[in-house]
Amino acid sequence: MNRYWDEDEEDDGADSMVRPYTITAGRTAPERDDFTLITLLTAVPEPVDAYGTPIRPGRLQPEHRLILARCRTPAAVAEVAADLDLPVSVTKILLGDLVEQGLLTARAPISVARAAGGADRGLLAAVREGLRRL
Amino acid sequence: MDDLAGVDQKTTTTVALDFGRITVSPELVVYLFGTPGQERFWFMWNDLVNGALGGVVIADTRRLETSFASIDFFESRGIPFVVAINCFHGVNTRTDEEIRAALDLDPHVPMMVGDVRERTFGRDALLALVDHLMALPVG
Repeated sequence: MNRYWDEDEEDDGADSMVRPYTITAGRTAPERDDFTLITLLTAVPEPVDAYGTPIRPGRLQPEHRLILARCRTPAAVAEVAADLDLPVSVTKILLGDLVEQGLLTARAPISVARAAGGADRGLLAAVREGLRRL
Repeated sequence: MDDLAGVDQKTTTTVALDFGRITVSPELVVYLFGTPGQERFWFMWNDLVNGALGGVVIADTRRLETSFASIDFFESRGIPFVVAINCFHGVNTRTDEEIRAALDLDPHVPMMVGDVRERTFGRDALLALVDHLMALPVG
């Protein structure tokens, strides 16, 4: 691997000679701002459009394909970014591409806003039981 | 679990963000995010509490004053939290009351003292948080 580009790099993407903005085709901010670190992502197994026609993925970067492979089982944004060794901001842009193409579904974390009465008791009890077994 | 980071170690670099997941059941995954308390990391805190059930503030008996900002942060946003006081090897020279007074901690906020490197202490801190969440009045 060519280390030439990396010599002064510190962390983000330091293992790759591809610069983050190349992966995102120059974009520096996601088009949607509703991804959080714990938004759950799942690859759509056999994606079809509104008319039931199978979706043929548009031009995908290798990173897009890695994300789809990683998300065959649900994963959080933070996990995908960590597994791909990409900055979270870059990951969010790529995730947005895939959601837009209908290849990936994003699910917001269960709302635990205090305004909504705090977290569900049953959920908390289940978490408690699980932690006790550790 | 072993990495509820936040304690300064002079010999190592402080990691800006740490996360882990605990699979508590086939349908249930708990995500843990850890970030240091130093001012230069404050910009990350808002992102991290987005969707969070609650927080664990880890403080060290030798440097309690460095955790004021973390406690203020959770209090001002109304996010439930517990305080885990680290003392290495469980050696604590101050009473719980002294620590609570030093932190100006609200009486209803659970506090526990122990060695944060112990796996069971991490688990117990999370259990204390869940108990605290369940004890909160609904609505």
